Amino acid sequence: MVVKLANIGIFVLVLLLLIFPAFLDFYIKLLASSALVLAILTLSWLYLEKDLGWISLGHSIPFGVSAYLFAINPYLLFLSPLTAFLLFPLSILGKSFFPFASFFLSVFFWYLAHHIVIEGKGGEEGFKVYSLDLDLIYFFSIAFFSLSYLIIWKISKTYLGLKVKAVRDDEIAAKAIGINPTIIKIFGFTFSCSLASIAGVLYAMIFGHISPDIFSPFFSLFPFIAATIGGGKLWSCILGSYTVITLSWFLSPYIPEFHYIVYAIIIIIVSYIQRYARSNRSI
Amino acid sequence: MITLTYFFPLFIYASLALCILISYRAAKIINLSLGSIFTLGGYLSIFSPLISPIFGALIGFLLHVCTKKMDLAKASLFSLGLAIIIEEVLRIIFRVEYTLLKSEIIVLFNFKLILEHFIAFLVSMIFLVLFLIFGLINSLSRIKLKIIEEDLENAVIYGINIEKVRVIILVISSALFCSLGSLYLAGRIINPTIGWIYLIFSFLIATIANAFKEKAYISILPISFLVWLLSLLI
Repeated sequence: MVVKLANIGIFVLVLLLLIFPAFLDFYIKLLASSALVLAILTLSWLYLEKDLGWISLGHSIPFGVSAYLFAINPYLLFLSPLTAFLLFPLSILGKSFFPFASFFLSVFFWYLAHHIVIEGKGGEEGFKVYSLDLDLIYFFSIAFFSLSYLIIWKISKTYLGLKVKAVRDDEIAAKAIGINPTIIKIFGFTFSCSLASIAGVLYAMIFGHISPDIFSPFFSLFPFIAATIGGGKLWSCILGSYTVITLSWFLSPYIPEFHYIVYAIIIIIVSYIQRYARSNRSI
Repeated sequence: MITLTYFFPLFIYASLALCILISYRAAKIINLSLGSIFTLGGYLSIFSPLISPIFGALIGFLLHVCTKKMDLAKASLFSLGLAIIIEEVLRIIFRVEYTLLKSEIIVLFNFKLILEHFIAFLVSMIFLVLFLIFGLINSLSRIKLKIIEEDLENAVIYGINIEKVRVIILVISSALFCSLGSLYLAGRIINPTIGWIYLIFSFLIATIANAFKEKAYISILPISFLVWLLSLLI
């Protein structure tokens, strides 16, 4: 009963967090928009972790690459689902190695992005991005978050979702009953990276600018941290996202590095409490 | 004209990769804090390069104490947290985003060299040669290390003190990373994130070398040579 009430309370809080900032001033709306977009990124990460069983510490790659593609030429956006193939090959290293390999790849992209210069633009300064009115972006973000949540929830209940979970639990057993684990894994990675890509484009549109920092550890580790704070439930990851963004905002005038210290503390605690984000399974 | 300086990274990366590989194979950890320890060495050189191995060794010991009961994934995750803490502490202490480290130029056989880089090269060479000797001599320690690498449970059954081996590996690798950071970053403009790029290159060499299984340690130098050659071509 208490758990049920707590869940209802959190659900109401999430709804308030989604609706309330729409009526506040520009700056609060800007913060809420970025928190919301990062919640979409966390949602995409959670799908990969929860349903497919892969913990990515490099989800800033689809997030950042699609934002860069959009900044260079919006027509290139159709390539963004292919960002899955930047992360997917790392899966051959196994579930223990994958988080760290993906993290290394994201740091590599962070350095690489400093050298992307097109027609004298880019480099450390980054690119200007086509932007929309903030109200419109906020509306799109809410709509997209809700849609992503519903799609993930619905897919999990379908036959395909069960196949994905079967591959997560035991690839050999899944193969024995006629499921092709590679195809399922490609589907899972592509789906997750596509959601992260859309989040990346929305994030770039909020600020009208994109820089190499989009590949920084802040974004690579954000979904992991937000999902941990949110308790790993799909709809509560928004709480984790808002918590990190709000704390960073309040404390940045005093300790600008605060969010990274929070990251480090959470990572260290998680390594002690013997579970990764929501999952009870040890990788 | 290719001077002696061009060869320095080859040996420095090889020794860094060796530390990563041995940490993974024998200490059972992907030590992600090594990049930040390398950066820490650079910042410590502002005061004195001599204190960096001590700080490095202390961090290595701390890492061992905190992760000795953890499996590979959790210990590696812990090391990532430690890396971020070191990086942010550096950012808090040295408020300036970029810091130029001093260096001393010497002339050796008509070649102008940065003294600190030359010492870093010598330290790396000594480390590699010592490890080669350790690998060639059929000593009990080498056999113990091999058993730990192959099967940790067997090592415990044979009465090998795996904790002692682990602490030695973590302390030496952290001290070496910190020392090389303090020497090799001399004359460069550094920031708290600079260590990551050195870690990535060393990690790449160690990962390729690890694929050679029993010949992994021996293959580090040729792989480092290929990576170095590739970086020259690029």
